[in-house]
Formats: sequence, C-alpha cells, structure tokens
Amino acid sequence: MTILSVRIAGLFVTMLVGLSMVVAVAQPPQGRGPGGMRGPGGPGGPPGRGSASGAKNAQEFAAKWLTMDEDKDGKLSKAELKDTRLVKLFESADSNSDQVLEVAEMNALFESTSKARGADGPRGPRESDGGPRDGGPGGRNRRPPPGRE
Amino acid sequence: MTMIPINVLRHRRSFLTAASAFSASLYTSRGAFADLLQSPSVTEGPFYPDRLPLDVDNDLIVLSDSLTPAVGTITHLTGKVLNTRGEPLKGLTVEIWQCDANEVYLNTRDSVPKEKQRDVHFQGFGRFETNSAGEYRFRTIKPVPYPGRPAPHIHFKIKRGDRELLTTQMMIRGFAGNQQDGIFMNTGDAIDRELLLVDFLPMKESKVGELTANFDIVLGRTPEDRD
Ligand SMILES: [Fe+2]
Repeated sequence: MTILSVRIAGLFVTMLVGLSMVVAVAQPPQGRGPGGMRGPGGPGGPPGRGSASGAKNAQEFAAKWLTMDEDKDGKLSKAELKDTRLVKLFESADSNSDQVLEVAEMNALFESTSKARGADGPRGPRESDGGPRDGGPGGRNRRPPPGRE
Repeated sequence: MTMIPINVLRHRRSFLTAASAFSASLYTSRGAFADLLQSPSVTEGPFYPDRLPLDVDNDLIVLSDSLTPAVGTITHLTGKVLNTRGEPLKGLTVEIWQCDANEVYLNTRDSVPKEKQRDVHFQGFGRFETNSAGEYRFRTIKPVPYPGRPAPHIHFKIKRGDRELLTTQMMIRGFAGNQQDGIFMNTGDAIDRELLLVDFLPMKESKVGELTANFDIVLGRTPEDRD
C-alpha cells in the first residue's frame, strides 16, 4: 500500500512538474529552478522525508488511527491513545463518549472533515500546488513573490 | 501537555517484543504499531532566510547586542522531537523562522521591498539542538497572519547535521483564519491538520502577558534510528 501510494504521489508530482515546465516556457525564467535553492519540501515538491501523507479515503483514515490499536481489536480506546496531541480530536470524534473510537466514528470524522475539500481527490482542489500561493522562491507566478507567503 | 513518559513505552515495547516472535518485522512496515503518529510535512514556503542573520540563537526577541526587543507578543515555545515509539531524538537541529509583527520575513525577497515596514529588532530565524530528552526551546513572538496566509504560522525544519528530516509549520489552534488558509486546509487529513495546531496559553508567572506554546514533533524512522 505504501509503495503504491508513493508511486501514485510520484506520478502526481511528475504531472505537476510537467505542467509547471509547460507554464515555465511561457514565463520569464524565475521559476523554482535557479532561484529555488531549497529543494525538498518545496512547494509542490515531494514532501520532506519522514512525512506522513493524508489518508485518501475513510479506510486509510481509519487505518491511521488503528496503527495505535495496541490490542488489535479493531478500535482505539482512550487508554491506547498515547499521542496526547490527538486527545482533543479523539474526544470530538467519540460521538457516543464511550472513550472508544470505533471505525464508524473514524469514518464519520473523515467524512465531516474532507467533504469541503473534495472527498475523492487525494488532496481535494489544490489551488496552488507548486504555484503562486506559497509558491517557492519566486515560484512560477506572475505575482510578485512577497505577496504570496 | 507532555507525552507519556518514555520508560512506560519502553516497558511495553519489551513486553511486546518478548510476547511476539514477529513483532520486530511489524514495526518496520507501515500499518505497524505506533505510539505516536508522524507529524505531517508542510511546504517550506518562499522565505527560508537567504542570508542567515549573525545571531541564530533560540532567542528571537533580542538580537545580539540590542537593547530593544522585538515587537509582538512574547511566546515561550517548547517541544520535543520524538520518534513514533515516543523515544526522544537528541542532537537534532530545530530551525524556526517566521515573519515579524509587521509581516516581513528575514529574506531579502521580502525584507528589501518592505524595508521600511520591517521590525529590525526581530531575529526572524533561530536554531536549537535537541537535548537528551528530545527537547527544544525558543523565545519568539506569537505569529501573525501574512498576506495570502490567513493562518499565522511558524516554519520548522528538523535536521540531523545538514540532512533535512522534516519541514513543517505550526499554527494557532482556534484561529479563525486557519479555515481560510490554503496551506493548512490542504494539509493531509484531519489527523495531520490536528498535529499542526498549537495552544497559545498565558504564561502563569508572567505579569506582562507572555505566552507559552508547546509543539511536539514526531518523525518517522530514519536509517540512523533503526535498531
Ligand atoms: Fe510562511
């Protein structure tokens, strides 16, 4: 699964790079090549090493929670949750407040938090992948970079 | 808010290892058991300093010899860098950078056009090496929104020597602009976004309104920490 998703992500990045090259032809050479002395983690570039990527569907999302399911009973109890950074999210997702996150609750959380962002795309409508928004040193944009941080 | 004590995790780990002959292989693949989930990477953005300041210490409020502090709400930012087993990662370099209270980054592409606007007393970038408990600490300002970035944020880079392990950002929990921020909203899934959010709380001992913020960072396994 990991390898597959990496490949898909790689393909996606390749497509974006291809796209940006097409755009670059029509632009003055201020893309992220020369000015972009900083490589990894750059806008639209591959995520930095050691990064986690977002779940693409509810199943992957639940699987992520369940990496912490120590007793492997297919749900996550509050006692199993050692990651204190996720306590608030756990509590908000535990709709029946039984201190256990069941897959149905994980699914509901995924649905309620991904709808607005285009539930079926890997990342939803990404308005600025590699583009102007946080667009790399002088990213491939017409706008002056300072305005786009 | 601190992570569970490491010795508890260690104990449990050794129990598991003894109990299951193939547990070791489980830990090496994704979908394997984890105590803590990896922090997501977030774009570096365009303004990592192009020229490092002379002062790159962990106090961004006061430049080397200056008597004038930076403008902004002083925040004591602390955290730990851990692996997914909850073990501290020591000797890693934590770098942070952020714009000053007047929305100017310490990068000539931003600071030159905004020369008059910038707060010359803000260090804009700092570095710290994690100690044996994986801890880091900075004194900086509470981040402010930046044009095009409605979510105030602090940029982070974690390195081992020169090798970059993670580039990410932290944001303010409950800040309304987060919901309009393309970078934040397009970060992974609900778990990933949650892992970027930090509470900025009044510092109890402070009479001048200083804040504390704690941001723990969890790295996936890197070749060096494989055992
Ligand atoms: Fe930024």
